[in-house]
Amino acid sequence: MKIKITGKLLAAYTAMILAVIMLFLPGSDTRKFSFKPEDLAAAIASGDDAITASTLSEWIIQGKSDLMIIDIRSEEDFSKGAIKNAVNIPLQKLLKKETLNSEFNVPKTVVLYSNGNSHAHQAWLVLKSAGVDALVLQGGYNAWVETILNPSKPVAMEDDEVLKYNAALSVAKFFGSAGEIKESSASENKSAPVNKPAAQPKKKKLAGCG
Amino acid sequence: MEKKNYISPYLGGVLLGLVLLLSFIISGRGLGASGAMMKFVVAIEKFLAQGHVDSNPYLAHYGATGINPFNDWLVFEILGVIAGAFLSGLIGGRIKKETNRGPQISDKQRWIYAVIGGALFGFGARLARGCTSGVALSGGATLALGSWVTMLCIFAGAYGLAYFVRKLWI
Amino acid sequence: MFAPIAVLNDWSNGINYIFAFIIGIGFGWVLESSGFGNSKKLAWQFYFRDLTVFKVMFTAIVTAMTGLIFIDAFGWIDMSSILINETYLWSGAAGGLIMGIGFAIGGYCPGTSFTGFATLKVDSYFYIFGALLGMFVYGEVAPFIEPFYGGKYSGYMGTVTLQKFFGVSAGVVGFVIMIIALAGFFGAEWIEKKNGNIVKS
Repeated sequence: MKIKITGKLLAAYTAMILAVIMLFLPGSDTRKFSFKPEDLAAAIASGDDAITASTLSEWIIQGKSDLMIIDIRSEEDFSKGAIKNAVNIPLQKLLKKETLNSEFNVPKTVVLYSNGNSHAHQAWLVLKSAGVDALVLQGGYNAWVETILNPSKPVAMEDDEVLKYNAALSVAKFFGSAGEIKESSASENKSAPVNKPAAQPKKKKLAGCG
Repeated sequence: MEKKNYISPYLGGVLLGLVLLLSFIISGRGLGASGAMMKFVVAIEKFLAQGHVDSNPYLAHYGATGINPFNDWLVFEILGVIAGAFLSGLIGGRIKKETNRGPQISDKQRWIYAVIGGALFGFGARLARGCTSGVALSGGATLALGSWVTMLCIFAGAYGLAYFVRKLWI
Repeated sequence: MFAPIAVLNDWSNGINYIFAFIIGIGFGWVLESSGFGNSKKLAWQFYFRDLTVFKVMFTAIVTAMTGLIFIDAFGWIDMSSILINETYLWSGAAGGLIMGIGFAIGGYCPGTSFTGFATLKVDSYFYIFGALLGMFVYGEVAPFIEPFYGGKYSGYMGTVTLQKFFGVSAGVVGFVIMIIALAGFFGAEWIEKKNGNIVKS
């Protein structure tokens, strides 16, 4: 049986062979990882790497768009109490390539927090090197609890202090706390409040792998 | 110059693919065309009404005060396209002042439809951030999701309308 | 890793633009040689008489795509420095449909209209004029449709490739597309044999 080999048929066969080879070729990450020590040092020195708890609370209340709050503590810690709207991505998981490649395709402002500071800063270094606009919550969850959830009652009850305190109380309530008086000078004795965990945060569905 | 036939489409495709690949290898970007047109529009608007360009955020991106719209990769690429097409046409004996159209309409009617079609395409190209060169070819080769979606929509729109405008072409 | 050459060697604008011009020459040359300056030939795609556009486009896409996948696998190119179009689902789809309608009526797309322009096709002059007009109109309308163009209703997904979307490697996507393209070419040959009326020059 004579098989006529035309140019087109040859090209088609070549194409098929190439296709099969392609099937087994490894792809590379399109996410750019760049380690620029000078840029990182500059950000740290200028304080652009962190925000305060009060700034974060303002952003949440104002409904700042593109805001992504990541709680990098363990799932256990997260379930005991977390910041409103925060997503729990434990540190180990956050530093994985799949997470980095899937969570940050759309530009966002990322705020990282752990209980204190150190873990969040580690995560910050990695995210910045992966081109993600990240910030650390100064003082972490501990600071959040102290300043936002438990605003301290002012010692001297002057008018503007009272106003500020009441405003702080409503903010605290917004974030799920019953408020606690740190320094009680008046006769009222509110019962010790329980730190109510923040409203169930939306569990972000990790977009399909990669 | 004697008029020659066009080359085989598969050969043309491979050559075009190689040019596209070369573009990525050399400049890190693919081909494009509609962007250059937009720059030209903004340049004219800059000349006539710079204030208007500055006050419109979409236009300002291309040509606000201090930005030269012609300072752009695509503009030079398009100049090359015109030069290359001219040379190819010259060698192929296909430089001829004519209007391509279907037999049922006149040249003038074709011109009117060309303006209408062009306007629609131009509008759509800005909305989709590119035309067939930038989106279908370049975005297609890099396997960008949105580009494939747009490319399929271009074909869908064209095939869908074709029957209703067949008088123009066949 | 030597590519992209301009990025890795930090070329100035001047050198970049020279190469843009050279690449453009290649682009325009191939377009014209394949007959893309002829609006009737282009439009006859949609009547299944001349499927050159489909063949050229998909051969080109597959060629470049395969090339990128291979040189990426060899480690010769830094894919993260390549400009990959971002995905705006809704505005992209709407724009695509409008472009398709414009193509069927106007018979050109911008790249091919410049090809026609270079070879004195009078209808291309009018097309280019129309396209500039359409873009002008868009510029005026743009601020009002911003939520659809790039805002909440744009379907913005960032830079997403097909492989990322389906969670496979680029090579797998390349394989599938190659198979689809080959099937498409066989189909196109069949259609042209039955119904074809190819514009030869």
